[in-house]
Amino acid sequence: MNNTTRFISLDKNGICNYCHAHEELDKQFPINGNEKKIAEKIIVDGKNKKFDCVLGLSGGRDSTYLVYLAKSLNLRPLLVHFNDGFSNPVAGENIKNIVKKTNFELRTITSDWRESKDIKISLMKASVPDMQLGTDLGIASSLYSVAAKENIRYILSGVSFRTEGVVPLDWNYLDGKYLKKIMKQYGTVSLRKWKPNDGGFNFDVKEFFYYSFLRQIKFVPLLYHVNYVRPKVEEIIKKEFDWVYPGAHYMDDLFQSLQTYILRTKFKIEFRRFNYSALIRSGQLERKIALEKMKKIYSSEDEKIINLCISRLGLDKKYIDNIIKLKPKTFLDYDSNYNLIKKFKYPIKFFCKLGILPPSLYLKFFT
Amino acid sequence: MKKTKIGLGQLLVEGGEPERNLDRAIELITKAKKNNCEIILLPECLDFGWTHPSGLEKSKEIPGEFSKILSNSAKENNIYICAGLTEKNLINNKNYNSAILIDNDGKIISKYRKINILKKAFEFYDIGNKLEVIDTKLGKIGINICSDNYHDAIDIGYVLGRMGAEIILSPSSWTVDYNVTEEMDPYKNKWIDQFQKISKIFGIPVISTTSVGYIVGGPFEGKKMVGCSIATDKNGLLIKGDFNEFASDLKIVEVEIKNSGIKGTEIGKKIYK
Repeated sequence: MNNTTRFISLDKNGICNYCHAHEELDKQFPINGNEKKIAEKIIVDGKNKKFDCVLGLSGGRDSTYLVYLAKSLNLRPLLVHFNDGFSNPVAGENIKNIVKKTNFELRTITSDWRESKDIKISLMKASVPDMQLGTDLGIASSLYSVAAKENIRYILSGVSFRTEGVVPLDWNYLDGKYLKKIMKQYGTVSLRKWKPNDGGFNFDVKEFFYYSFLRQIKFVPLLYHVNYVRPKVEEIIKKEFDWVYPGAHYMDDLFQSLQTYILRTKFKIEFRRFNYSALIRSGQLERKIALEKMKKIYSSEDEKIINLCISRLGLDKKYIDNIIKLKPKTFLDYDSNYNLIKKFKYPIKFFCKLGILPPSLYLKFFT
Repeated sequence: MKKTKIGLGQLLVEGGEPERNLDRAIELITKAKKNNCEIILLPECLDFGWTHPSGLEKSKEIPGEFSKILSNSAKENNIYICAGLTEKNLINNKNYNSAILIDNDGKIISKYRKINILKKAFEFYDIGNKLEVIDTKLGKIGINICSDNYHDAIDIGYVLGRMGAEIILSPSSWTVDYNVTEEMDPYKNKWIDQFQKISKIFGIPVISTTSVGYIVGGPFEGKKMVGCSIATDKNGLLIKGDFNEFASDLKIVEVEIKNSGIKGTEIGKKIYK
């Protein structure tokens, strides 16, 4: 990592807080077969229900492997895919194959394009790096909404700190209030209102408490417990599901192309940096090789796909050039729940330990 | 009686992306041939997507750049193709929502321009003025498009039947609201009732393939296409495509294409008995 994030700090040995966060997660989530115990509990709690868990599926590597793992552990997930208009057709083919081969039921939660388009444009106008904020909130909201609707208590997530890392707060800040404030300032359409079974893009503190405490829905990062090695995982999912690589990490969503381009050229941010750092810490990538890779523009910056994103949003290259020229901002320039969250440091730590809140939440905010 | 294998190519259509859409169409055509289909039916406006604004300016003539791609594929794969394209007519500078039938030599043997255009789509497509039934090696084929099969436009299907169609092929782009999900019945009786009615009266198969995908431009933003294409014959529903909004798929149906014998004034008696 480097000083493109204001949240980085180095200890006396020159080791950064993200390395410490990784080590902390490594201690909290050792690879010792705990995923089997977790699965047993989910199976018992889901007895007599049609599904025992919700599983977020994008068709990318991580979520596809999560399906494989869930099947191996005899779980009965309801697969949930969120589509806000930028689904990668390659990932779509993967989802189709997974559903055919597993017979797991799929629920596709689609946003209203008028909303999702307006959110994307508003976030660009706000000049913040969190251009996927709407999509990330939409995914979270969909998973919890479907779990609430189907009375399911567990959500399996395909996040993996060992291969993905911990993203700095000012590179990717996830907060429903933050989105609402930006939409109020830059949006042209109103976000549809929250309903427990149809969350839309609403995922603020109130909604989070409703799902986590009243409905007692738990977020389970199952991949934290397994030895997730990318080449091995790819071998498995290719064999099991005829899986095809969507083109780059996170490229299950075509908007990643445009986002990666703007992040690099405007904010000097590259998500590869924390991804590669995680792989280096996990012993899956040599630092020297990672540094070499960083010298080249990442494959997700595909010019054709960038142009597709621009035209799909009804914009042109000149508009994007003007967005890039705007003074860069972060979530700290807008009203959000950040100050409130800071006040609740210890309760958050407590609830993360109990597994009521996602375990990386505390580290992400307070590392 | 010989049965004809027909592929229902539920194509993923991305609005405003003709090259990507045509690439996927070629993949489906090749797949249909590998599965020994003699005809593949592809969706409505598969080039730009139905009512995508880019089609207004960038649409092509028929025959033209896009139809040529399909013709080449038909010849290469020795297969009949029925597909919907956005047509630019340079004579009157109007756009049409058209469907073409290409034979297995790659020749366009029929072109139909949609008649029952939705009011919100008037700015995109002019109204067609001709119905045709074409005699082919596989039988007499009639073509209509999507909302030509609305319950209050069933006359269009009736006319094709009266003209001797032994099968009706209908490229479509059936839309539903964005919040329709897999556990719901997306169309209920919106399409199947008319299909079954025509199939029963004329004793012929009626087949429609819809696109899949998310509408990203034009007056129908907020809607999507979720597949569930259907084929009927005189006995009822033959096949239904999968519910899906993000990936192409091919369903195959075997039908008898034959003259049912009913014609002329006998038809009226059957319809209005």
